[in-house]
Amino acid sequence: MRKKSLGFYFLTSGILVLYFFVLQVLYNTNKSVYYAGIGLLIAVFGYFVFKDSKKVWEYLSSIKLAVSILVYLAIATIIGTLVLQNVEPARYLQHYSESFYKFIKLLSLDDTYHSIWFMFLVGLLNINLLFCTFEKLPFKKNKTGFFLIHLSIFFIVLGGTISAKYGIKGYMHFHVGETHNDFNLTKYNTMLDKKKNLDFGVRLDKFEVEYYPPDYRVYVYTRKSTDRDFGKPYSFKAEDGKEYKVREANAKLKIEKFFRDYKQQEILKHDENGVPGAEVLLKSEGNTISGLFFDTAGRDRFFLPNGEGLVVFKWEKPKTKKDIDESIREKFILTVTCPEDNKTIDVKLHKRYDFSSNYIVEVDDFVPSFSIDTKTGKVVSNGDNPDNPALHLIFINKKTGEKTDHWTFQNFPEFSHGKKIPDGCSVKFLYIPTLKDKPIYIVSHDGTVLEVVNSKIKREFQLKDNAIDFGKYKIVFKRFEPKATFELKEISASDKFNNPVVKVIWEQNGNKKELEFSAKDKKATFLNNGKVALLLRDKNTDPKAYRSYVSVIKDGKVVKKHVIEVNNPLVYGGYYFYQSNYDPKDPNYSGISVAKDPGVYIVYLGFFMLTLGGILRFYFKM
Amino acid sequence: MITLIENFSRINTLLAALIWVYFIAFVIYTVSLFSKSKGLYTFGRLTLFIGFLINGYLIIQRWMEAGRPPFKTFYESLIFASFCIILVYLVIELFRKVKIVGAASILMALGSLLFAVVKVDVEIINLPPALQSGWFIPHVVIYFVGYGALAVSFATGVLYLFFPDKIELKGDSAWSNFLINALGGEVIDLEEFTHQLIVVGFTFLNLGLLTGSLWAKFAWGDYWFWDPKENWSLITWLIYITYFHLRYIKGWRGRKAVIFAIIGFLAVVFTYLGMSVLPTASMSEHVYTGS
Repeated sequence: MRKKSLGFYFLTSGILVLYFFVLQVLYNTNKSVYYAGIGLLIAVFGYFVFKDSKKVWEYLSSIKLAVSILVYLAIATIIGTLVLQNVEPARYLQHYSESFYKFIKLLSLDDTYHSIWFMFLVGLLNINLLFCTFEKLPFKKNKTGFFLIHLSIFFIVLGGTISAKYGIKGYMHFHVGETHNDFNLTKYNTMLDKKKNLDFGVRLDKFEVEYYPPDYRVYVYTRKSTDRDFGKPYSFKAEDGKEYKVREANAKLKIEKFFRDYKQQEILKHDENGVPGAEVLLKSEGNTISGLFFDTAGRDRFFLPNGEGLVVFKWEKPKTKKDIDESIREKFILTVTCPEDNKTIDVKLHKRYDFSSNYIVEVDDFVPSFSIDTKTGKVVSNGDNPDNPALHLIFINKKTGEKTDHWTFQNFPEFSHGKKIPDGCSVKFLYIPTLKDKPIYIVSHDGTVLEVVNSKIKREFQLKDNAIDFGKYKIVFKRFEPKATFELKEISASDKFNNPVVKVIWEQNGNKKELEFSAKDKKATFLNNGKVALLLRDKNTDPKAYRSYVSVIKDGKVVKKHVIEVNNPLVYGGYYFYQSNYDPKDPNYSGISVAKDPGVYIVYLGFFMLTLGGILRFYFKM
Repeated sequence: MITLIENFSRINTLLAALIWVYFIAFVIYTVSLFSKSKGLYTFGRLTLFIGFLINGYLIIQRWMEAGRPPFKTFYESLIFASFCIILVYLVIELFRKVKIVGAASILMALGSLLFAVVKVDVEIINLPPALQSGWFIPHVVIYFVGYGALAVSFATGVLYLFFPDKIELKGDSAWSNFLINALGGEVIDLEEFTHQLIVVGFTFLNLGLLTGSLWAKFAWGDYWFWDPKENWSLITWLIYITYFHLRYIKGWRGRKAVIFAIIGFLAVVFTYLGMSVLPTASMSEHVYTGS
């Protein structure tokens, strides 16, 4: 008998594959005709067996049939990677025309690997390889590899079939504290309207998301002058003293200093032209704030927490009652800037002062919290808290006596209510409050403290260990300096990344530029005519781990505790529980998917047999 | 091409050095095909070995810098791929001095490195939780060693198409003298040679499949997801299986089977590099990050 060629097998199995497609169409359109189609297939098969069973056996156990089925299977698998699988109809219609989508649906190409025709193809391969295996019987030692390999495929397909038939997949929505003893069934990641009960409960005790530690970097974006968009950025770690080459821009980037929690702090400094100053710390439990006092209006006092009192710094202890009153009274400081002259005046209510070449000013009224009564349209104060201090000024023309009035605001120096300030001048107003019915502590450089309430001296004492102790907190006078000023120093106020700021030196074509930018404002710094952009940001904003701390509860008792992580599911009662979702908006939510798969071990056995069989067959000729 | 030239200036100096070393090794191997000088060939082997060490150092350097295995981005994996190709060839060379296969292998390693330069991505990306697993290293290393063997099998397969006959030592023409020198002065059947390399590569593919299925079960809850990358590894596997069976069919061993072997490696390349062009790529868990 002449052997059939490979072409014959490709042709005949190709016809079979086409028939599988017909069966698929029938399955999708008319089930009863589909069963008739299967009946026809069996009948034709029966006819061939009846006619010449030997030939049928020869056909089904042919290695050429194996080759053709393998090629068809490969093509089928390729199709499944070219057509979108198991997505919503809308997405198909986005990519394909409606008629093509109908065609896809008709042949179940939207779910290629679970379609009937694919199953038949896999089934045919299995029949073929089982026949091949029978053909090789009886078993001999030198055929071990062959049997292992061919049976492995059978096991893998068998395991897969069991998984598909008896496997369960589901999903559980958890909030911390909840116990669930059922879950929603799912299919291909879509929820089914079905629940499955468990004979035990799972409780979520705690859920946490761990992030990678912050890694602040300077991102350098570059583009050519002809480009519209920036290319991929390069990032350089913001580490003090590091110097990097930026090849694209032919430049050097030096990280001068990186601040985790950037703050500008005033540092007391000796200055021959300065005023008396003091460095002070406010210490409370676990917290220290530093500040400076200067014996000058506006910088000489500090309110204690909750308005319990006021601390005033006076270089020399005030001797007379007049001195004391003068030291602690409330003050209105007016800074006048005119084209010809600038001056700062410590003004009092209802007094007149020389203002400019043509005007004098009368200080008419003060409100601690400026507001306008909506009914009367008159200026009133919104209480005594000085949250919006305003001063009413009246400018009087020296020659004509004509008056113009004006409200000036401490918090909004640009804004004015009323007429314009005359003579092209501008004013800045600073309100320095004082305190009534509460103690005022006047501290002087020799360590003497006067405690004054409503202008009366209550007691006089010395600083103890340079401090006044108020119980919950204390004020420490660290240093007194007779002639002082301050300089601003940039510091990191804490180890936390509250306000990351970096100072860099950008060196290009011999020019050095000092730049400073913050991660908080997320603004790029442009250089080199917009061809370079620098940005400071945290590279590590992605989660490192999700952890669900769960307890398994059976008959009211906790029988198992486990921390579910990705790659570390909870295994209990034949079920696997996986970390599969979280909600960035709800830190108490954890999404757990559930799987029970009785076929998996058979599949693993198959994979193992395949690997082992291959090694035996190829390397040991077994 | 423009990207390649542009990027060349911005890559790691060591990577640029490695490319030059491999290139020099390639030139020496090619010249030694036409020369019987043992010294020249030894010099070529030495150059290649130095390149191999630099390649290994690059991987270790990146590993330390990133604090994780350097198999996350295309850039990282391409450097590892070139390492694996040369590794496989160096092992072969211990047994057979097949210089021409050496030249072809170095060329492929170079191709991989030049592609890394195009895809250059010096940014270190953190591992997402799914990749933080004990399976990550074995799974990737097994596949890449397998890919390395299959890459060399591709080289020998293509060579077989040019020199299909068994080379006998007794040949005395200039042509057979060249072949004997190029193939290491021994009787060699390139078709069988290709087959043996595919056997090695295929064994690693099976091991990779086994580790991958175990890992997937622990990370995602299923051993097989019909993920595009998985599907293409299945396609690759089917092609090689077809190749093995074809060799048992009379009249199909040789040229026709080797063509299947070559198609098989092209499928490997597509599985490795081509996933992002698939319309189904968005559904894949296997697409490399970093364009």
